[in-house]
Amino acid sequence: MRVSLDKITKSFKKVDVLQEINLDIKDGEFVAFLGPSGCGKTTTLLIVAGIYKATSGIIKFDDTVVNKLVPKDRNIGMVFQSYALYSHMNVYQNLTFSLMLRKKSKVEMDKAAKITSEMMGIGHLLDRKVGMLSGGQQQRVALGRALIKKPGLLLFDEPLSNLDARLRIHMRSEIKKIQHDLGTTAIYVTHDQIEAMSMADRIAVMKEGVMQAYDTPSNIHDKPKTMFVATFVGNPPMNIFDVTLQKENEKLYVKISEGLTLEVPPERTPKSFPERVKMGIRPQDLEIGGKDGLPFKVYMIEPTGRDDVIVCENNGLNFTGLATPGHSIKENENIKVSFDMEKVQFFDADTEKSILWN
Amino acid sequence: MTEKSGIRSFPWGKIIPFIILLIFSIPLILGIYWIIISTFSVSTRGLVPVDSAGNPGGLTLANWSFLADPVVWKLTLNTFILASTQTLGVLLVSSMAGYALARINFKGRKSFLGSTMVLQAFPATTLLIATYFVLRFISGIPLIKVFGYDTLGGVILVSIATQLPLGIWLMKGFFDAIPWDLERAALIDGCSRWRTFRQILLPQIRPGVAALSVFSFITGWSSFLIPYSFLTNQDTAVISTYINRLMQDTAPVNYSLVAAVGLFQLLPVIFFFIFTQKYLLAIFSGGMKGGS
Repeated sequence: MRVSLDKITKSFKKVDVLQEINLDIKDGEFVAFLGPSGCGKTTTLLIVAGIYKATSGIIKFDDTVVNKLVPKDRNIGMVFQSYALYSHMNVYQNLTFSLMLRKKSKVEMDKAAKITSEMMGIGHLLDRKVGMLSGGQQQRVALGRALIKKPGLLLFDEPLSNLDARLRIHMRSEIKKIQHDLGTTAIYVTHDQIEAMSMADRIAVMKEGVMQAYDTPSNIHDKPKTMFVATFVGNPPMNIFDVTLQKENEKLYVKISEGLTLEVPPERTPKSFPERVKMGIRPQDLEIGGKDGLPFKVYMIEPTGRDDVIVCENNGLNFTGLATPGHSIKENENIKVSFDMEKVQFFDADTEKSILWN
Repeated sequence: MTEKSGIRSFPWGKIIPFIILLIFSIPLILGIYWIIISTFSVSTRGLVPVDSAGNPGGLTLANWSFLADPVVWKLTLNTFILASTQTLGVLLVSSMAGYALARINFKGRKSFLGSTMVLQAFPATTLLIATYFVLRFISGIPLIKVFGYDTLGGVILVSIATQLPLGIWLMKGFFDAIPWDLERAALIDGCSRWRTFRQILLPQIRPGVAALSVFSFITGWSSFLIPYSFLTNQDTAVISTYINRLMQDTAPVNYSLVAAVGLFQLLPVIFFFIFTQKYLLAIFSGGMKGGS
């Protein structure tokens, strides 16, 4: 099922929560809504589900306008963060509730319950009361409940937030696999950018009711269109500096601070030259403690297991870089940092928009 | 840890509260003792059972002979009807009103909530005279005459009304505790609003519903003022008004008989209370989560 949102807005009394959201989702695509708390991603999801009514705009499933359709007629399945299972019923009843409401026969319900519960790995739990299950098992029941009616669209509202880290990683790939095998269109709301990056075909990044970007994970990571997208996606976050761009002898240079100037390669030449510019570079695109580079002093070292996060500073200018453990860098040491200028980003300091990709 | 000796080791922390509680409980304990002992005595002097001549030891079962009187059983039935229909009425109205207040955003919602707060502050006593006039008025209207003055229906109506403010507040509180996601899930599965209310939400607040019904039943079972004020017919009287009559019609008053009937009325209440104690405590300490 294709989904299209055309100029969707939402206001609650006088508060504008969503401002003109436009997006198209292809059949079978897995789209993530990513953003900080309060950015409007869950609101958008609930509008697609039919639980909230859009203040204006048109929602289409395939080619049908569904604005006036109630949730049960939209052929959707939804998985909630809190699972929202009917705790006074057992697993079987939870799974088949929607079928029971559609007056399906017991034979049909039994068959569907068997297939779905086995797909979710909970076939042996059909008689148990939901309250007796672990978090992971409850999550599977919730997913099964959404899938049993073979919906055209699957909606997820931060479904893994209540699980422990290990289980989260495991369920992430399971959800992705099921969605891929079934080929059902899916919308996945999350504030966790790693989840979005690893699961989605395309990510819609939102902030304060405005959509900042809607693109594939690699484009969002490598070609961010706004500073917000650039710093929100990627861990540790991108370093941002106030810089000045200088042209000299047909080459472009960027001055980070007094005495620290780097050459900008032609592929990274900005499309426009606003008065104030910010430069962004990800920690993984810096080489710390190598032979060449600009001089900096090590401020702090934070081991995280796989990498060591090195915070460097020079004249009040701070940034973070990464180093593989086993290096010989020490705190307060003076080291050289080289910048991979092929990966650098430039932004207009006032509009916070990228001047490379806009 | 070394043993402390002397006055420090005496468990004052446990003894003193116990002593204080004991001092306050003694009147109650003595009162209950008196009731029980006097039901089995001809009469009592203080706390000692005596016979008709005033000598200690007049134990008898004669006071309990009222149980053979069929009128008493008719009254018990009336009391039961009053208590149970009133409980049903309170539950029905409170649950639906509570749900609407918790979930539906309608005009005047805030002022309605505020007014229930205010209404709760009015004891039935202050409204007695006004209620009398309303009931007389209702008696004059053909179809709903059964709820008028001097009818069991009228008493039930007024009893329900006096208990609604508390009932609505409690129910609203319970519904507020249920997460929105549960209703959303039900909506997506295909439940209508009414079905969601009946099949999904009410079972979630079962403890709350149980607590309210017990409380309401006990209130109805022991209610005196409203039946007394609005029922003049002996046939429709309840146990509490019967006890009152015992105290007014005979002189001198046979307190042992009064105690016996009183204890008879008290027994179901005690019985209920023992079994539902934890529910009642939970709702009044406001800590119980429905559905767990």
